[in-house]
Amino acid sequence: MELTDSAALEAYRGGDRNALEVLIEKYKRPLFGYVRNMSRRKEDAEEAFQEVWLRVIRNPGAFRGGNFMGWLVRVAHNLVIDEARRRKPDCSLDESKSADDRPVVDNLADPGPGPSRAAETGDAARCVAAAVQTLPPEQKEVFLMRVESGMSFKEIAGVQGVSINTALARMQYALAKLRPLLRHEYREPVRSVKTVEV
Amino acid sequence: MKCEDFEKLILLAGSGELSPGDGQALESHLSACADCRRYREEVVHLTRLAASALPSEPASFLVPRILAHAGAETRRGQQSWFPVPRFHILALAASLLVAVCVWVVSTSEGTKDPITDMHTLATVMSSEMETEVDNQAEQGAAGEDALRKLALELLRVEGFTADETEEQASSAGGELEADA
Repeated sequence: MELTDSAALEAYRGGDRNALEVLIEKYKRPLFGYVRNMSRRKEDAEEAFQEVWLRVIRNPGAFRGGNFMGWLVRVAHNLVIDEARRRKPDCSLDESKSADDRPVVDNLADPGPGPSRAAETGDAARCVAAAVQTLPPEQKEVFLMRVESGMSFKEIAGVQGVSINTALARMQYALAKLRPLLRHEYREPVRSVKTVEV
Repeated sequence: MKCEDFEKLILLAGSGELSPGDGQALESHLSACADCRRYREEVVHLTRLAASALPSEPASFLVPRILAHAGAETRRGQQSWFPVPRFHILALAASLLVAVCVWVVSTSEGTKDPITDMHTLATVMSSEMETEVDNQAEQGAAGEDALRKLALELLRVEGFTADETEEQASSAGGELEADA
């Protein structure tokens, strides 16, 4: 019988290292997917991924039940914010613009080749993935938490410290920017969506 | 409700957070609204495309490295139950106690009650050994303190006055430091 996450963590606390390995294997892709796409460099993502698990190893009792994946992403989210502050010590993520008029955490994410470049290759998936990298950080984070990590909007709102409505609106804005990329796959024009920033 | 509101319900339905009442309202709206049906279809398509294309596989060395950390952490945790420095202090104290007892018996001609003297020394040692210390530095300091108290007690047993014992203990400490 498969162990629940809490039971696996409890087993690890009791000295069962295999239980930890099971948890890492289970969540490595959704967690790494989040940190990789929120980090500017692959090395930063690897460091953050490792640090999240080291925190689990050092203090497994810090997880007090609930959704383990959501908890891991919350830890990762804090690391991403710390990294952003380290790069821009006088700014917070809530400030949308920095002195050079660019979003503060744009310094974290690797913008990649861009959707238009990917579109030239005719690969819709790559095109969408490239476009995700150009989303504003808050919208991109909601999109990644939902799509990569499979978190609920309630959990996403909890991690970002906003209401569920705000998390939903951020997802809507992200989708509004991505939907035109599917234009070639749908004959009818997509419905226009207001582009008000949240 | 406007279509924008139903878009939110479509997203909530996708994450399994829609209440039964809202679910019914959404289905009713979708049956009549082609735009929202298409929105739902595109959202599903987009998320599938993104999930398949976004990088999400960690490098192969990462998980083994994390597990190695976990192994090291476990070993460290096991060692902390039996810290080696504390064993050394206890072994030294026990050896010293035996040596002192033998010495007291062999030089007890001048004292009235060698058994009482040995008992006093043993009490001093055991009280020092029971003192809980947590780190290596504290253990070292506690060990030195225990030896100093034992030396003072030995001198007292030998008939030195309080001032003389302090003087002797200080000079003995100085010699120990010089040796070190």
